[in-house]
Amino acid sequence: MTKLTQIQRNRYKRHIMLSEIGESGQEKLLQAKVLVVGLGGLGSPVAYYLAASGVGTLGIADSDRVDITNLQRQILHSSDTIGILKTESARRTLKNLNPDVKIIKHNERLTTENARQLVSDYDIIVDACDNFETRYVMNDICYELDKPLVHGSIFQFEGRTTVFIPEQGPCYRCLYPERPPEDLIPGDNEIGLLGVLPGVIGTIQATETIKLILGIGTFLAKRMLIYDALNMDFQEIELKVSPECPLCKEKKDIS
Amino acid sequence: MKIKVKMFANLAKLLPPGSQNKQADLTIKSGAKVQDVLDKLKVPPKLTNVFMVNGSLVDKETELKDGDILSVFPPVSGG
Repeated sequence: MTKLTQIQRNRYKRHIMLSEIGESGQEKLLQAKVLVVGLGGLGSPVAYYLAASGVGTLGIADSDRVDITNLQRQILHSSDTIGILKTESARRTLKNLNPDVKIIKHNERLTTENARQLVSDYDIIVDACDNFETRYVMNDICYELDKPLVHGSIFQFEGRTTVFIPEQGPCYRCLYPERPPEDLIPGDNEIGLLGVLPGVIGTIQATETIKLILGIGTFLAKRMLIYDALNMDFQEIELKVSPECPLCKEKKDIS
Repeated sequence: MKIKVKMFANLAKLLPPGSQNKQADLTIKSGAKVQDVLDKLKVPPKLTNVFMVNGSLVDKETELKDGDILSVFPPVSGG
């Protein structure tokens, strides 16, 4: 493992001072490869804090361009990047924050066709996307390739976050077997969102990602945190493998 | 018997008209299960497996008791 330079020792001083991290932990962060899928409300704090923390390789995936309606919550982007690809807007912000980080842009949506190729190079995948289709694709490929998936999702004043670790179960399909009908659960563009809400959930996702890289503490696995900003209430729900889950049921049979 | 149902995110629109604060008191048959309440409120069958009764995770076959508080958490997609 490459040793830290003196500049890095200064940049990451407050990490290194923590006995749980130290120089060896910081080296682990610099060696880590994380893919952030979605560079919107959730992806902004996730990528921002992972870059600041010195996660060495950050894959950033999004096919959209920055729109003025994004700026109420998507803090990676700014008024002067309106109209450009979110991956490029994000790259500029992240590089400016921390030139140590290697940014790999993926200007595409995650689909069943490209998922394997996109995901396989990374250690941990962060689900910061804004649609069900991508969430199911991500769940299935992370399950198949045995990659930890750090989930976040938001609605109006409510947020959810959890970590899916394939070998421990459960997975996203255990919780939500099928994509919900559009008329019942509306798509992202049709819902109001408190701007700061993804800041809270995305920051928890970044925290869990860093802990997973370092292997420290207790992960938010097998439990989901549900945040209600309107009433400032955090609830935790225990999660279980569903006996009807097409993925986990199969895996259980093998073991 | 009577129970309280709390619907998270926008599932509240499946509650009886006039319900407030995303919750409602329902009268159900004695011995009714979580699934019976979901059916009564027309929650799509494969929408969610995330329910709590009085703060603990339960499954669809859990039998409800008078005074129980059932919370139903649908998926949300925003990011």
